[in-house]
Amino acid sequence: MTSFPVLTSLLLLPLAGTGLCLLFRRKPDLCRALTLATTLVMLALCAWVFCQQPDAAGWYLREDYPWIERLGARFTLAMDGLSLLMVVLTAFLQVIAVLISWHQKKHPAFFYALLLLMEAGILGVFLASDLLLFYLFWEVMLIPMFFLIGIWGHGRRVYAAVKFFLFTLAGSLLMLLAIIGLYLLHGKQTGDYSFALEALKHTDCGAWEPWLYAGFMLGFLVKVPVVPLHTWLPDAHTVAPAAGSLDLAGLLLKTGVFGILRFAFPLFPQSAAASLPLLAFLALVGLFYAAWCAYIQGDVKRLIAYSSVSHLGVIMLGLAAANVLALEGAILLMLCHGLTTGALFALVSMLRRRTGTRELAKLGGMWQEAPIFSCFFLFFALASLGLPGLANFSGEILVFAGTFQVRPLWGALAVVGVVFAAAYILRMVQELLWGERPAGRPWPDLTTLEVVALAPLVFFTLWLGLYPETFLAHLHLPVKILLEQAAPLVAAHGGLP
Amino acid sequence: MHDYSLIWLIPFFPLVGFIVNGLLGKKIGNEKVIGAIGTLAIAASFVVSCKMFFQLLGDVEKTHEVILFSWMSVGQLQIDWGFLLDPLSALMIMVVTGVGSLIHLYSNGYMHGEEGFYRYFAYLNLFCFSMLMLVLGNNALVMFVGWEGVGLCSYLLIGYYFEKKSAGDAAKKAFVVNRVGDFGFLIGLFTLFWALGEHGVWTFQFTKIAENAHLLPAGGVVVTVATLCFFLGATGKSAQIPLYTWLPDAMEGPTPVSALIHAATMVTAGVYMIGRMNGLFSMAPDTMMVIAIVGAATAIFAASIGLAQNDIKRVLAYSTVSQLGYMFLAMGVGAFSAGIFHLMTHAFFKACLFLGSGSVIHAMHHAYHKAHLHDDPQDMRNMGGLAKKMPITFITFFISTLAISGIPGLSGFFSKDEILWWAFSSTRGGWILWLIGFIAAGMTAFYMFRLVFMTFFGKQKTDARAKDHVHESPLVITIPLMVLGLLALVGGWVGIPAALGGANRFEHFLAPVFEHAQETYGIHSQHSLHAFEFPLMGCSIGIALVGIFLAWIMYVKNPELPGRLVARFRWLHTAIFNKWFVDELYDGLFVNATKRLGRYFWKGFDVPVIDGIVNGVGWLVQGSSRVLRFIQNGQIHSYAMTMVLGMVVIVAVYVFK
Repeated sequence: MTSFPVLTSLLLLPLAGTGLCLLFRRKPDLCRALTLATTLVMLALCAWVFCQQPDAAGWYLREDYPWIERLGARFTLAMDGLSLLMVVLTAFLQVIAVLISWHQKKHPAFFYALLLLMEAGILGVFLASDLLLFYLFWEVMLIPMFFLIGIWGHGRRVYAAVKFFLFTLAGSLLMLLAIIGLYLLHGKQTGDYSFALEALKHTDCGAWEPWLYAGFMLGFLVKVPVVPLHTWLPDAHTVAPAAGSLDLAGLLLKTGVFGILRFAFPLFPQSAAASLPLLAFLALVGLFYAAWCAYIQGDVKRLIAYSSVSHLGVIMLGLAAANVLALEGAILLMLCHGLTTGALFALVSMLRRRTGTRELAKLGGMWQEAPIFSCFFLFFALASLGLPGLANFSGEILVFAGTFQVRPLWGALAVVGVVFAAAYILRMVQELLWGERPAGRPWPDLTTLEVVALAPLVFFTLWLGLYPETFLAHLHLPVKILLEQAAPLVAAHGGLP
Repeated sequence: MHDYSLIWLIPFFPLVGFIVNGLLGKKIGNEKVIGAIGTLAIAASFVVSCKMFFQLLGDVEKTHEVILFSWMSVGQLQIDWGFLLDPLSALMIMVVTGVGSLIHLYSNGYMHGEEGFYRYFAYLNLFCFSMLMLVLGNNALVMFVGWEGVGLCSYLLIGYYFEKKSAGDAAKKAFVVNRVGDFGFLIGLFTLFWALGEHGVWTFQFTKIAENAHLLPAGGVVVTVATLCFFLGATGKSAQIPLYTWLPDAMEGPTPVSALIHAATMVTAGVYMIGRMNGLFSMAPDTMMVIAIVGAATAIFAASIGLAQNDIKRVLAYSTVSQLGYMFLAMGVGAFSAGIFHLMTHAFFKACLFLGSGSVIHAMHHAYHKAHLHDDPQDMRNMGGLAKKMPITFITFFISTLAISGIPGLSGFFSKDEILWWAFSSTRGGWILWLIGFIAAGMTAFYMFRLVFMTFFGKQKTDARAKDHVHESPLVITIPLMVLGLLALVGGWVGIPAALGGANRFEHFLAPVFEHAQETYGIHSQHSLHAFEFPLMGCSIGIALVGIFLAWIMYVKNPELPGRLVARFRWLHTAIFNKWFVDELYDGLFVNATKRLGRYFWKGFDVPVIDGIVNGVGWLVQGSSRVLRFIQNGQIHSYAMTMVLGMVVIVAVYVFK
């Protein structure tokens, strides 16, 4: 392994890009080129790491620097298979985000700067191995999104931005309390006041454990989001600009699930095990409630937002089943969902740019009008409803299989969701693509740039559907380690594999 | 040494055809090139299929698995992209690629001049790819890939004329009803997965499931539930009671699609699936009984609806549902090979019938177009006397009609008779099942000859202005008809039963697949009943002749008789004509109820409760934002900038100090 600080550069590169964008804010074209270059370099770095092998403990890279020594907080970054996949997804989607906001007219420099800042924040969340550092990035990530929605959004953007901010802030403040509580407990017991994740894993929290666990979980569940903490999401999505929706669905939601896997489960295995039935219940409720809400929406973007909540229900069910199959399936599904839902949001933004509306009632007949758009839309819609051979199916099938291993009834209920997904997706496809087109101005088909932005998404949707092994290979070790560290999780289901 | 490693080419060619026509079709634009690509793609896989089929015929080892590459391997679970070639799948690929090639060829003529010609061929190739994956998959998930894929193509092709609302509705209905079935398939699959997993076997692979099925108690709850769920999946795909309603609506698609997807191949997927898992189904006598009853009921129920329809394609659609019922009846009584036999002969004669009706519709449409009329080209009441105008279409159609009616010597006779015989004599059969099948056979002969008489015999009732524009279709349409007509004639000769001095080569060929389960679970035709074989055969020939005779009396000899009968038994006719009001019943029970419930939820729950919460939050937000505004009175931009710079400084200081 080289001594080059790859992880730190993954964080510093976008920050440098942010700085440069602000510096050259009078030259939007330069900013745009800079931003694209930055994201591409990041992607190349990630691709390089992707080809590496982890060490025996599952780490690809670890970097550790002193930080706030008085508090015992260190600048520790670490990458295992789980964070690797999340980082790759982030780097990849961010390139797409730049491409789909290529013609940004309003404050372009500031917009690109925020995109890069958000990338830094999200990557920090996925990489931080020190709780204080993690919390810092967790909050940093919010700010760019708040501004993206509040400044570049449509409609009731300020309302949505504030709602988003308050929901997530409330969640994360509880998490902060829990972090401090854990820090103090650990310090008192061992005399070593530290925020390091590895150290804190061995804290005996006693009676405090359920409370600390709940604090962490609330912070994460709001982000996921789990019904009934989800109401910020449809609003935020509806008003967010294209890149904002892409990042929100593709990345921000994933930080919640990631947090549960990285922090909540390993830190508090006893409470986590006890909470699994509740998690499964919430997951199933979310799956159905959101699917039903999706079915009655008239706004395409809101419909997709609800479908996103529904998919996250499947992911949460995978977490609640907590075995090898379900966990690997859930993580795989996070990648798949990031691609397909992200792509759908991007397509809807392209649609709105042409038609000026997202109301299904005012749309129709797209297939005649814009066949290329329609092909892409149909492709991702089908992927989203879980068509075998495309991305979501491979993740879902593993989650279902894993769930059936431990709780056949939960699994059976989740499979009913398959029928629901078909109903709302087909309704959307039929009303948007088929039938007669309403009279009015013609709607041009996709431009070359838009096709270029979407084509990689198609490629990886197929890859994930046909040969997910490439990605699963990175997951075997981290999931195994997680299940070893959080042994009570396995015991919760009677010790089945 | 036999090598099967190139088996992946079979689904690969149509996939290439799909990609080329799908991506470049619009640019190519030339119908001849597009049609050639599509047709050659499936013809190429027919050639490979033939090679594999004859190789397998001469091979001692009858089961071959070819693994392409790993799909997902997690924990103890290993799922591959793998193919399974045994007599059953070998037969199916022959039917799919053979009939498929003919229908592709036919489509070149039938779809000529259609807007979206390339789209049609792309979908058709994609369908063949999916169907071949379904048939060849070595595990249930690859089969499910095909299973969903054919459903998708069916959806796209039913909705091919997407500007028509009825087409869009029919497509959606087909997909959603199929999804109900798919849900059954998945639940069945996972139940099995879980149950076998309890014994330490985590697998979706068919051969492993068959090997380890004995771990589960035969006739136990788990096996029964799993197989019933699988059967639910089959009723969706193969249009059986209670999920058959989508198939007649599916006739909104182009006619060659009805021939390929909704008669010859896709709808038989359920039958194939049961055949594929015959070991498991044999272990669940209760499920088998349900299958036999549902099959028999569907056979007679759909046949009864077919008696009174006037749309030529609808008659054929209900006939398909009814014939599929026979196949399920066969599967249910354990006559697996007879069921697959009927699947094959039905593919020949029903494809021929659909293509023949397409030829008629094509001619009628053409004639009306020339005469600038807008009459319905599918309504048989506008036809009649077409035999002279369209001789090739008529002859092939007539042969296939004889075949489906069970006239001795033709393909349908052998397969249907074997099913009826097993229904009567099998250890899992019973005389009631035979009786139902027997009556349905009479109805089949009646409605099919009614169709033939109304279409091809008597006086031409077409509008005088269009009358003379009706003429025979071009060769590209009639060649497939002739080939299929020939197959409908001789296709059954491979399965002539021993009782008639044949060798029943068909059954022997499939024996390696079915024999084991039949022997293990004691499924065979009872020796004590063998004296009945000839009398029963005589009965079924007799009732077919009676059906034909009645049709002749009513539609040739005495054309005013049907009108009198309708007047006499108006209530019966209304019920049959309106398909026993099942669609209305489903609408009332499920569709409207769901809508009402949805509205109730919306008005009763979502608006007051959820919106109430949201508004409450909104109020909270407003209140707290007042507080926030107080704290944060600086400018938003500068606030963000401070955060950013602060971050950069902190990181920089602590990393590089």
